[in-house]
Amino acid sequence: MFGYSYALNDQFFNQFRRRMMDLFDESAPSHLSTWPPANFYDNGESMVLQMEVPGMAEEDVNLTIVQDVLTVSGERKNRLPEGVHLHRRERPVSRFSRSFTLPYRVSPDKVEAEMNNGLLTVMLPKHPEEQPRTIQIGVGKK
Amino acid sequence: MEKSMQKNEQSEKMESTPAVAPYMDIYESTDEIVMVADLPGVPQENLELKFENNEISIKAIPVSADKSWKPRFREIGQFRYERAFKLPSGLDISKIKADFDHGVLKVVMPKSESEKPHTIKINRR
Repeated sequence: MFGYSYALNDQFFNQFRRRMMDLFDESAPSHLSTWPPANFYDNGESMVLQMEVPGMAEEDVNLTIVQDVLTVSGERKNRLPEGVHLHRRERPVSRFSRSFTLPYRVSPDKVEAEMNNGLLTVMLPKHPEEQPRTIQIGVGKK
Repeated sequence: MEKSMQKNEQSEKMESTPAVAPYMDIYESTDEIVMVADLPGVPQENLELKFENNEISIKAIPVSADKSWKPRFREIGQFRYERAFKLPSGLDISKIKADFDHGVLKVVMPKSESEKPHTIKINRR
């Protein structure tokens, strides 16, 4: 993908590079390998998924849970206007689908999701049977 | 005094977080240059866009997850976003527009009139 964008850079080397942006950070960002990246947390009561979905609206992202597999899918539409000279094209454009096997059973009807500034947060409450329970120890009889 | 110390701590904390360059698209038409940056998880108040000495710089700090949450699986690192570009001459700085939506920053920089291509009419003899 970056090879492609560099090829385009060469192609449009003329104007932009020569007279324009003299980058002081020449390297393309390389912090992400899987897109979109996600983090999982455990807050005791719930598993929490966070995923970066910049530029996607609520209706562009789908969440499904089948048994213990959570799937997040979606599409980022990122069309460039016609007839522009492209200098950099680093932002991933694609359909995506990522599945995660959850380490706990969750209560699917209690799952809540929200999007905030391009960050998706999904709260996956653990099934009551997965919650820790205190067991009373009876007094043994001799 | 106390306030300035707090500020120092804050900026030190910021400096200690590694900076990464956000993914960006940059394209140009006859009228303008457009820069688009992915800044997921950044609230608008943590976003700084600056024009100075013919340079545009983006600095942004994403919100960190609740401290009480135990990380189990991590692909999104803890970092701040930083990137800067030297701008060409011939842009109308006063007309630069920026908007931030769903974690995407878009900066539209119009070219000044003298930089736009114009057709020269050739007179017939």
